Amino acid sequence: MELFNTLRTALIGLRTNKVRSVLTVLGIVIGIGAVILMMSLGQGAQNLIIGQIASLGSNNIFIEPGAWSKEMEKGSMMQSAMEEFDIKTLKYEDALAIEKEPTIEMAAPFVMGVDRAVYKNVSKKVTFFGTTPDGLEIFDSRCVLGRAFTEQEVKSMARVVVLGAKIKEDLFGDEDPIGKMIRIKKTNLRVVGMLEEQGTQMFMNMDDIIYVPIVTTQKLLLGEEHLRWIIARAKNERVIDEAVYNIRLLLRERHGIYNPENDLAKDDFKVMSQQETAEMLGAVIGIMTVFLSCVAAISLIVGGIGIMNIMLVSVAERTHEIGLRKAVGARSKDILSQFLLEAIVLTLTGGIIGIISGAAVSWLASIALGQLLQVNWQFTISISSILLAFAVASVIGLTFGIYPASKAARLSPIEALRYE
Amino acid sequence: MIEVENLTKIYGEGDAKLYALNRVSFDIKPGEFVALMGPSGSGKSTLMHIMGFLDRPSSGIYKFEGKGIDELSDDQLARIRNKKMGFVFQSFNLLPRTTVFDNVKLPLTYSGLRKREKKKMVEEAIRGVGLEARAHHLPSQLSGGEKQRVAMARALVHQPSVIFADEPTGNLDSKSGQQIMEILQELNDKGHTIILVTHEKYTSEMARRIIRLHDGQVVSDEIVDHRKFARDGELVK
Repeated sequence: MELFNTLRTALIGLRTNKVRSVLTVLGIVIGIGAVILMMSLGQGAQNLIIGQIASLGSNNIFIEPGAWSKEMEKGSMMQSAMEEFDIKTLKYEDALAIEKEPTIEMAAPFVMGVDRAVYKNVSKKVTFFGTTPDGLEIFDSRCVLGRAFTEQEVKSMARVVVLGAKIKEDLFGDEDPIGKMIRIKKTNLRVVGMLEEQGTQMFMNMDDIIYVPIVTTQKLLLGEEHLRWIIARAKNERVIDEAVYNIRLLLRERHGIYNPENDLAKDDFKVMSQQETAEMLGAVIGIMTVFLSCVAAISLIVGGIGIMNIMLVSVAERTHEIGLRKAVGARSKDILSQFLLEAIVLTLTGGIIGIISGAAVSWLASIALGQLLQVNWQFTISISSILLAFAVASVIGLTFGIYPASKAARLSPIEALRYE
Repeated sequence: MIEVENLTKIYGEGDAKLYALNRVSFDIKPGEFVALMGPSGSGKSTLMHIMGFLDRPSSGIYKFEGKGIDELSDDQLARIRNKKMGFVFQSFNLLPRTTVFDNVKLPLTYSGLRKREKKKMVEEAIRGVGLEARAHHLPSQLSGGEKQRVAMARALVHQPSVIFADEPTGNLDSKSGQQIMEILQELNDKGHTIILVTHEKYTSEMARRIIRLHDGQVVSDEIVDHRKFARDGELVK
């Protein structure tokens, strides 16, 4: 009852200064909105990454060339990814050996290149993957027209190609591509199949990719011996850890690395389960989210200072009112809670509007990002971020409201009444 | 009801020391109507502020209903002001942008009474000063006399035992001033103790007793022989 009364008094106080109250609230709205936006985008990015990696199935193990370095854990993924292109330690034979492990269902070697593909007078820049039929299976790439290439075609270095849906569209239009020849790097390749539309997986638009048998790609298109990566699939979820361990032992033996202490920095390859990959990428995004949220939080502090400023002005302006209230029986505590509540009402109102507008902007951003990146960017807003925003708004109201409010409460009634 | 003994209030220190009140003593019994008179600077307002628990004396004894100001905490003083005292000021001191009704209700805000009870008391007080038609107006829409009547309603809304009026007619024309004095006299007739600060002779003669102050000291304290009544229309400036 008493609280309700004080709240009412506080609301009347704010209502009598509408424009000022609105402007003050705006600072908090922007701060809270920005925090909500950052957290929502961070969460969305994390979900996207986990979704993209999970889209390959959960039993996958990634094997990449190059040692595990501290920098990777710290998050300079991009840099190490660039360096890996020059590391030539991983070979096709490694993939074949891995496949023979009892815990492994299949292992697909991958090489990759980018070049122009030409059909008649149409030309288009394409990304081509050199792999085995297992590679198509791991990416769940199924043919809607024709067929995938075979193991036999891999071994015999057959000049065949399977097209992604969009590439077929761009090069052939409505024409049936099966049996036609396209040219990449002066090598003629015969189209044997076309894939169904797949969208994005592992951050690659699978419709924009063509598959070529690995030996053909290595010898004819790239002229290199090494692999970019191997993706192996464990027989089931329970043996993943065992499989990762076995692959490490196997590759050390094959590469002549003596490493009984299992020091990953000594290896010339990295083996990661899908879960580890997701966790690592997730951690990077997590750090980014925290960092950006902190930047947003700074604007909240600015908003809080705005609240304090306005409350101080309000106390000075209403000194007379404070004196009068005290004269008619308001205790210091009544005055304190009145001004404190005014500050909290301001910040909480700002907080609520900030949460709503932050969520609205996040929603728009998720649509825009989805369009822009051609991915299924999910709009997420967690309860915890809303609660956090609420808590932060209240704390700011309290922190920045307490000084002006206690200043008001300490005024002596007669001095306040005399104040002109 | 009110005991004042050797009450002293000093402002400043050293050479700048100023005795606003210098060893003032008197008693006031319930139901009295006392005018504190004197020229400006005589200490009459300071005295009223101390009696109204708005200020503390430098030395001396002040007791209200047997309780000394030194024995009471600020919160206890606030509570007594809230229950037993009403204030009327020369400059009205109404809250702007707040309706007449809410202005009158102000003391009740801190009383812990029920909403319905408060509403009844506010309406009664507003009726008492004849402003029913203005209850939902803002102070800026009222004349000076009406504003002071709102302040009167605020001072009596909680039926205080004593009402302190600090130059209540000072900012008003004679007709409005007369209305205010009439209300004060009526309240006194109903048993409220009234303490009126004024420097006007004709206003002070509407009280029952006049205490004259000069330079912080009581120079005379006497009963009014030929008391004047505001309802007779004798207030002429």
